[in-house]
Amino acid sequence: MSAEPIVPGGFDEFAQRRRAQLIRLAWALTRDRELAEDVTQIAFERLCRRWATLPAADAERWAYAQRVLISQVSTWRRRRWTRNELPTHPLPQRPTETTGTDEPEVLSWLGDLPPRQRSVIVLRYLSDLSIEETATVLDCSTGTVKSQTSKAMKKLRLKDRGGDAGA
Amino acid sequence: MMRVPNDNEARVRAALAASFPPVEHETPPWSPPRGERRRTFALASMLAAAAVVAALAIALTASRSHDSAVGSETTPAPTPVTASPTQQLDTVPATLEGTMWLLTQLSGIHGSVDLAKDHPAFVSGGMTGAFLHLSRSGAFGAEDTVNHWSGRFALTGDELRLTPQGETYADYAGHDPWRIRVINAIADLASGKHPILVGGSREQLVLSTDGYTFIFRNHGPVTDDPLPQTTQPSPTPTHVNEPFPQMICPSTTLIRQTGSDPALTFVSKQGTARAFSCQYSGPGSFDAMTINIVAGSTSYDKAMVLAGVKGTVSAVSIGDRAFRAPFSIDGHPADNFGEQRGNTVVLIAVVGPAANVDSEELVAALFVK
Repeated sequence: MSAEPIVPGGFDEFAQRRRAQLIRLAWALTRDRELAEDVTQIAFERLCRRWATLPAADAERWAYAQRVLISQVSTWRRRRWTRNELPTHPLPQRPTETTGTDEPEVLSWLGDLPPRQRSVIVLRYLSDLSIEETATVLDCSTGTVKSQTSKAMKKLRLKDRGGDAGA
Repeated sequence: MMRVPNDNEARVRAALAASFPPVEHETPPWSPPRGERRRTFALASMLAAAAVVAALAIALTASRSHDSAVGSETTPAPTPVTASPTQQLDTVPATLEGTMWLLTQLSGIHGSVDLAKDHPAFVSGGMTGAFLHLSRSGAFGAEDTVNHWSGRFALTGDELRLTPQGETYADYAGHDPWRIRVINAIADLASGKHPILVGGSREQLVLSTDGYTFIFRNHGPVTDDPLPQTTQPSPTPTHVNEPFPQMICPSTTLIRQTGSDPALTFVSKQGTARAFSCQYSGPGSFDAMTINIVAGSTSYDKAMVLAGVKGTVSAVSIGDRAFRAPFSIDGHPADNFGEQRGNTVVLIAVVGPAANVDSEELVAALFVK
């Protein structure tokens, strides 16, 4: 069976180069590694269909890919009730070493955030995007990114205070 | 625990970095996803599909004078495809129904694939072809080389509408871009979301839909009815040299398997090896299933042994509703994926680079109780 060469700048090359990054992004957004891979696959399928119409610049393609992925995560969340796959056994997750005592609380806070705020936090603090880059990915204004970040961080502070009060 | 308010940003960064470390390439790179297909039977998706079809029907009526198909909001605008005089969509083939149509050419937004010219083995009518067949009883079947669709169809003039009722859910684990194009295109065709313009001749079928143009070749008559059989199967596995359906296990019907060989087929970059035998036990559920795989060639030992071929026995326990877990056969690890949806069990075993094999092997079987 013959295989076509991977063309630099083509979809295959992009998918191979960016796949791990997209999975990591989806993983942080969903906190489910297996689901992250599924969502990434769907995002790549969407991307593939539109590939010919995308700008040639890799940065713009990458921003679009992240936008598609975030959209797919939201779509999955909205349609979760329609899924007829109900695992009866715990799905094996790849072991993750936890090194900091903050992680459970931060992850809990992240999981409680609305999708928009969670996306902003993950893009800014995991993907290390600037405010402008985050705004581009989310197709919103920089002011929105700042306000969503502020609201999310305020919730973290409130969560800390609640924990302290209860301690 | 006391927190330093001003350090929250660094704290979040550290927690995220620790919790979500960079992902290694543990699984094969991109291959056509099946996530969309998994929602095929969901009510919301069906309603949405119906709405899209209705909208497209209106659009198609307005643009019938053009040969290109109608796009949709979920796909880019279609690329017009130039058809040769013999490929004009002006006549519905008299042999449309009752014929096994073998895909030979594909044109779409991602370019053209001339299977007859560039991949002759693919159109030999053997194990790896993509097919479409429409029975006289109104049922259709479609093959994309990995998955199978079945359902009903309606032909009005030169417009064909497919209503899928069942499909398999195997993933293609390879990397051949041309094959990925074929799989995506057939999936789009069989989804029933877009009206299909039909043309061609007795020996050639040309379908145009959603930016794609398919050219099929008459591959001979088929027997009615291509819908998956749901009657009580024979207790004895039968191996008929037809791609599907296959009666494999007592109380189960194999309605799709990788390739069209009656044996379970391994497709890899190295070629194809045959394997297969399956036993099912458990009166009311798929509590236990044993797959016996027989190697077709010693040259595949390295891969086959990971799939249990050398030992001739591999056992996979399928949970009540779903499972997805690593398993090992004869002490060799492999990734696998299996699910049960209603009366359907999808079983896929993938042996890939993670198992230190330089090719990716895909074994897929779908059973219906």
